[in-house]
Amino acid sequence: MQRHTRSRFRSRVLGLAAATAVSALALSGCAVGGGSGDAALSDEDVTISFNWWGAAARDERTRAAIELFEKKYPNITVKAQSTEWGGYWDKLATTVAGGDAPDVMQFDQLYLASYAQRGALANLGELDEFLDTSALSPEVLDQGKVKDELYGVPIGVGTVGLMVNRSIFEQYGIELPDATTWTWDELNEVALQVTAASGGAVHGLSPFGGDMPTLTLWARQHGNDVYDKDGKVILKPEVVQSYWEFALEQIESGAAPSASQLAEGTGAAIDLMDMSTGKVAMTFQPSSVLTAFQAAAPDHALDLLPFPTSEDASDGFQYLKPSMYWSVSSKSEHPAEAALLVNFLTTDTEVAKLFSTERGMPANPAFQEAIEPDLTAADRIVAGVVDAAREESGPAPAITPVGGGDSEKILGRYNQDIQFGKTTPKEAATAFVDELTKAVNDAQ
Amino acid sequence: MSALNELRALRTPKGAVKHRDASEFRDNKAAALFLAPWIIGFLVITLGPVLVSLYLSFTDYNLLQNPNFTGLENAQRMIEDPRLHQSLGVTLTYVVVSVPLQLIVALGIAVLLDRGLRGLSFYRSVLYLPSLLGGSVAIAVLWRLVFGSSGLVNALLAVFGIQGPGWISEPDTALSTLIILHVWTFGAPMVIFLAGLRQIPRQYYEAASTDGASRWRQFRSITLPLLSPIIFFNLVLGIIGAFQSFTQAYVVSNGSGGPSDSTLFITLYLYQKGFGSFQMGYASAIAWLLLIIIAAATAINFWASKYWVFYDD
Amino acid sequence: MTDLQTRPASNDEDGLSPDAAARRARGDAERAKLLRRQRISSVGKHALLILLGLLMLYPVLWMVVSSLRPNGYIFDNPGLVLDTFEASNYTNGWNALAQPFGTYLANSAIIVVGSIVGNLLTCSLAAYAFARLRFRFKRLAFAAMLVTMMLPIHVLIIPQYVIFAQLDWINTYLPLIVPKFLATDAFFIFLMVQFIRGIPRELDEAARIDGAGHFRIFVQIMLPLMTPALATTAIFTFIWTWNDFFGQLIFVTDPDKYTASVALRSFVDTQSQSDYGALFAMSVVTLLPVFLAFLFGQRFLLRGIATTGGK
Repeated sequence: MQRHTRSRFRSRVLGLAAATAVSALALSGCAVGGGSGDAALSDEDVTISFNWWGAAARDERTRAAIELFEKKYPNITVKAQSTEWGGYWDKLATTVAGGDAPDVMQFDQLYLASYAQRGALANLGELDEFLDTSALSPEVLDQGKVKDELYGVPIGVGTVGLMVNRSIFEQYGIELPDATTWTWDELNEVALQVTAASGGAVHGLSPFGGDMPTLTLWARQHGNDVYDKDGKVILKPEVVQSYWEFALEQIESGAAPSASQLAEGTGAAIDLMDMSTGKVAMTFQPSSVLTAFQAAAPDHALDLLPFPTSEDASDGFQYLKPSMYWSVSSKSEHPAEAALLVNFLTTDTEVAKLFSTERGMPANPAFQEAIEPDLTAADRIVAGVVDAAREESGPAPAITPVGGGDSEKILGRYNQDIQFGKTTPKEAATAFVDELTKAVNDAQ
Repeated sequence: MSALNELRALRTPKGAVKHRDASEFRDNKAAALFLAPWIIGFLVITLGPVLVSLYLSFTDYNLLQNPNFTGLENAQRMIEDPRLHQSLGVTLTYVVVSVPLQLIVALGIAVLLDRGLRGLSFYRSVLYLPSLLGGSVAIAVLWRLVFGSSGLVNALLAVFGIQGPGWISEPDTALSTLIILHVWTFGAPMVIFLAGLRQIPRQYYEAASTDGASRWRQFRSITLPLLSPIIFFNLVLGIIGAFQSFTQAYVVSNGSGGPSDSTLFITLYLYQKGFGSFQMGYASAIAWLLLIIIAAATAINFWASKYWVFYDD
Repeated sequence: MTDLQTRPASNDEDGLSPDAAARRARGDAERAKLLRRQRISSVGKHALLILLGLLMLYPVLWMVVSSLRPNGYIFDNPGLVLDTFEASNYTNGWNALAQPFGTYLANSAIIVVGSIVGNLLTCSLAAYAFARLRFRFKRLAFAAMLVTMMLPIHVLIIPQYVIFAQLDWINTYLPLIVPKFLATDAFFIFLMVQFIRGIPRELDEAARIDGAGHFRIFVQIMLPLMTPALATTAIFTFIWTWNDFFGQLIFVTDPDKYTASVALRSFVDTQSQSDYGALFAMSVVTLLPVFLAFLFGQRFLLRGIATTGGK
């Protein structure tokens, strides 16, 4: 008898531990998505948490901005946390799942919809009492919206350009075509010249093929786009096919390095890429990383040129892409103070000077004005390219929908399969669009 | 009654009558005391999350909303998922090749470093150094430096006029570099072997060499049998560890399992699914598949051990 | 070499216990022959070890050298010759983060010390029970212990986080230390079980006949005989805790409480400008304590029980 009760007790203890965890998971899920419409500033001391990703250089600037904020609002204490990119998202997913999200978060457009649509982020429109976004242009601000509600305030903007190592061109006496009007054919030609002139020691360019920003631009040049406003995948397989075929031709012609060498650069840190070590003369990169590349290649003069085009390219294919966003947790206990911090970070010109262009060209024009006198040479190049893109830009593309956060990984995988001859661009294009469509549909 | 015999008894045929007398459980009270911390830890910290992950493996769980019970949908999906099959192949190859290789190297060097040389403690520490680096961020850079297309290995090959490939970036060779990385970090099993070697009484060797037995003979008839419990330990734990290898592939391929999924370990895949694609339900299902595979491998190991592992008790 | 001759027997560098020395003295004559053979082979052994060492160490040495090169000149240089000496990576790296790097080392040290004490205490207790005691559900418990090692951390971390959050332990070191006091490291339990089973049973049977209880046998007989296994546990706990990343990343949120392994990652970010010089410099700094721990710890590791046990 006694044994019987004891084992029942034991199984109860076992169950308890599991039940605690399960119910807590469920609880945290339920609580997500509460409204924040009745937010108000507190008179008492308030502590809010604030997370971002980035390396040490970013930390220093951000901590200085926090100090300014705390001085201006003495009753608010900001607890800062920073992590590098990979760890940031693991930690964020875990803390949000555990019902413990930070109040203010730095966000990337890849995941903005994933978190917003599942109720983890606060609707910033409801916090407009504390947060003024009027300085931002509608095209830029729209890219912080999911289903017409604002969930992320764009911090910086940028565009994809063609990074060029001018030192290499000088060394081999090759002249670059007029960059304001240049076409894909001209790009190919000059890339081939580099490879030929250097005897293969340096290749003309690292082609695109595995990143969503260049695919998006390519699609927009061809009158297509990746997603529509409802978050449906509208990308045409033939567009992806031409995108990959173009890159494959460059590899086969020798304008670009071998598949193996390209794979070595995939996902590598900036310092390790062929562009930084002078093994290729050109590469497609977001405008925001020019400074980092220049620092990694101190003996080379780097420049950034606009994305090439072709005669039949659609007008207005260009757009300004927010580099990152500030978002507020839907579970924040102090949504008003959190919004106030976001407001401070995006409107106070003192912050502009602290941040400079480290998070991309500021989205707020007043910020850009404030830092204008202190811009470095590399910054000015970036500013020029961003301004040019702004003038030519068409309507903003829809942001990555829920389930699309994987798009870049899927694209990169097929790209490598093609380059290593495991599949053809045609087959891969269909498979890619199918897989992406399924990922997005399944997640809705 | 030893732990091993206990496990062996698990396979006692159903019909067999087990002898139970009072003395079989004579230490119940003492065991409860000795095991108290472990029991509390198991119930409070370990078991809960394990059961939750088991439950989640039958759900669709995106981390941010409540899990939805979907029954065997995840299992169905595993059957049809080509990337999962790829990751199983990669993981199995890795386990089958790297574990024995690492153990042989570790054992060889441990025997070499056991005793009889001046300055051994220094050699031991130096040879352990790579294992200290094993999973650090710096390893990504270092490995590229050795196996990259313009790395050390190719520089050596170039001396002989051979143009080597980019070992890390070719799908055909990328996994082998990870296997070498695993062998390179042989420090942990080496240390355990060293500690095990110290348990072997010196007199056995002295007697053997007086009888004129060669070094090799001594190794085979003294070292190997007496070290077999430790070899067994390293094998079991090596296999469990290799099946769960994550950090090195993650760091070297920057989390992608590339090039072209050639280093997509099963843990890397379930991590991508769980944290990258917000499919923690499916990730849990894969984790339980992995658990079943590891458990089976471990059971086979224990079964096979009775043919080659010698215990004194 | 001369030292080998003045210290007959197959000596090791760890010294001898008195009874072992006596035992060895008895076999002196037979060993003279053996000794000569050993001396010749030891030259070859040294050569082999040095070669092996260099091969193994190239990446490590390169990291040390690179930590002394200026940023931007690190990756195009696979050589080990240092033509510039840039100590600034060390000063920069030390001060680049929110706290001086020493704070992170100290934080790591707190967790390491806690983990070592916890593992030594509770894993050895559990191992003794599994190796020497007879009790109900032993098979089941042992199998359960092994199975807990077979699930990858990534599917456990969220439920664990929930449990620790309920206990209000997030942003403390408790989630990293307390489990060690609850013998959750099955690796070490199993390791000690295997070692205890190598210890002759006559020893504890004899003590038992003298009327010693299990606890006394454990403390007075087992623990001293288990020194190599305990040292192995201590050293591995040190190294693995020192290098562990994921748990420390998830459970500790306040940057002032970050550990060295988490702080190290702050030097590189694939999305922005990284500081590799500082990364390598601080990696070297982080490596140093574990290396020293190993260098000195292995004395205990190799204090063979054969010298005290005897068979």
